[in-house]
Amino acid sequence: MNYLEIKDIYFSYKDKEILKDINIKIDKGESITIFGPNGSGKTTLLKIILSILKPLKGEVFFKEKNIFEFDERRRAKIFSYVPQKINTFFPMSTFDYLILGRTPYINGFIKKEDREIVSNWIEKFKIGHLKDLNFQFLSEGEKQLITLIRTFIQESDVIILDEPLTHLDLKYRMKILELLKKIKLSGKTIISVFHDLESIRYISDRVILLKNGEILKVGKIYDIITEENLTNLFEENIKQILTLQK
Amino acid sequence: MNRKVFVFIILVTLIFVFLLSMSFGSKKYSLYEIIKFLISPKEGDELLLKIRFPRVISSFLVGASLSIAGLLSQTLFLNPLADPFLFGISSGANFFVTISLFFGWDLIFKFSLSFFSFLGALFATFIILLISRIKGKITPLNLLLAGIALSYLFSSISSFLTIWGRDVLNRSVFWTLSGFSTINMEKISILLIILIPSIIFSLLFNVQFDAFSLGEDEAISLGVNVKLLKFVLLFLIALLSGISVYVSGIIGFIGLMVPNLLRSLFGLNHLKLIPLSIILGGLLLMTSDLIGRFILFPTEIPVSIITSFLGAPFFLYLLFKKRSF
Repeated sequence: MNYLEIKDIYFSYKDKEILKDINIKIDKGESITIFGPNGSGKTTLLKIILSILKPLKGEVFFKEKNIFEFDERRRAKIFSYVPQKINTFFPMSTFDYLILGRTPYINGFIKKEDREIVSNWIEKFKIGHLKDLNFQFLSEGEKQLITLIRTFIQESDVIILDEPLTHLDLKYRMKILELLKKIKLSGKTIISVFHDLESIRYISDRVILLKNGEILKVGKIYDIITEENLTNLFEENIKQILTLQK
Repeated sequence: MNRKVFVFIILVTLIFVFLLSMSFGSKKYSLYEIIKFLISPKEGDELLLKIRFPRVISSFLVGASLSIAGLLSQTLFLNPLADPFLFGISSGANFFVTISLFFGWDLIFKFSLSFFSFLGALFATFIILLISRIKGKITPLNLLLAGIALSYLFSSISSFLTIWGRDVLNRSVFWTLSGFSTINMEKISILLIILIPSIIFSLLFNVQFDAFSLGEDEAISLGVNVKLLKFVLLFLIALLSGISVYVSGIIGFIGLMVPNLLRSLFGLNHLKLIPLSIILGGLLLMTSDLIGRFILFPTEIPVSIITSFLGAPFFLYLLFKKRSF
């Protein structure tokens, strides 16, 4: 049985093709990264998997069931999301932000068990000093870390991350990569978008090269991340970048 | 300020303002008389039973309605400056009232004027939905812009009609200025029938409202049915604003001030904000009505003038302040 299958996805917006003929099969516990130039359709693909966007053609299957046949809460128990930019329009405590990870499980009112789950994860990750602070005023690194911790609270099977390391300093990049490594070892499936090859090497089992909305190549990182493939992907000679990355 | 201290202060102030509002007027009542009335209302003074008490209680309930409507508006629009008036609901209500005055429909039955204001509030909400649907997608920004445009359109037509019809002018100006001087228990009953289920419904959706406040994409990823929630928010806002206009006419800024004040202390947590909005919104409008009765006694200043006097500077303050917790 296929764990997660993205089949024949086609998506366009205002007559512009964004994604076409996207076919991917992902195994349980696998960490897969989508890599490509800006505007290649990476975030769109993530949003289709999350059901934030609906494809014009094609389907997404989880354990061979079409995810659009599930209701929103069931989908949220399968997929959790760490967006590229974390929005906070209003002040709220970090604890209140974290407890929203229990939204798919809550009917009406938050229960004591939900609060205990959040408190346990706060203790486990030693972020008690942040729980009463205004989430809006945390650093970008702290926000990304807290949002990643929220995926534990959400207890999803698949974690989806869109450029989680953008705007982060070295300290928080390392913290998040270490946490992702632990998530991977725990058996959860990870679908991510990264821009740097170092992170991809550290965390990914396979890489999808996406160019102009189409899959160029899929495969294991050392087979795919070659000078030839990257030159083709970015249409630039990237030999020097590869040298620096090593 | 400590949150528990704040809640204590507003509860004590509420009791104080309630007793003062019941006491003050053309006929003054002692504390003893008021408590005696509250224990057995039917044995109390006719003025207290039929005029004073309905007035005070309705000002509290309308304040509560407008505050919750304001809170939900800010949740829907993801904008602390959102307010039911930006929907054009009050302008829609006023527009229907002006039309009814112009054609003499206000003479059809006893509560025609109030009924048309309520109908206008619902109509304005429906039009906003239609306009924002034209693009095929409801976004908070589409709704906000549609509401502002509608507000201007309704206001301009209302103004034209009031200039054209001299009799309309005389009667509609008083309506526009609003108040609780014509309140009765029938209006209060209708207000309660709408308000209580709306509060219960809002409380049941409290977590979903919190999640929605992170933005649509994150809300969807957390299992929120965003399309349904937007309709729920819009419907509740229209219902609460509409019933407020029906009972007491156009009153501004309560929906803007109260949620912002509370969020600065309690953060975004609808389970706390909804009941606190009831208390603080009720207190604010009850106090405004009391000030309106007191300041130029025996002449009464319409309550909307008092709330505008308080609210307009607050609105300007919000435009410039940083968000704090």
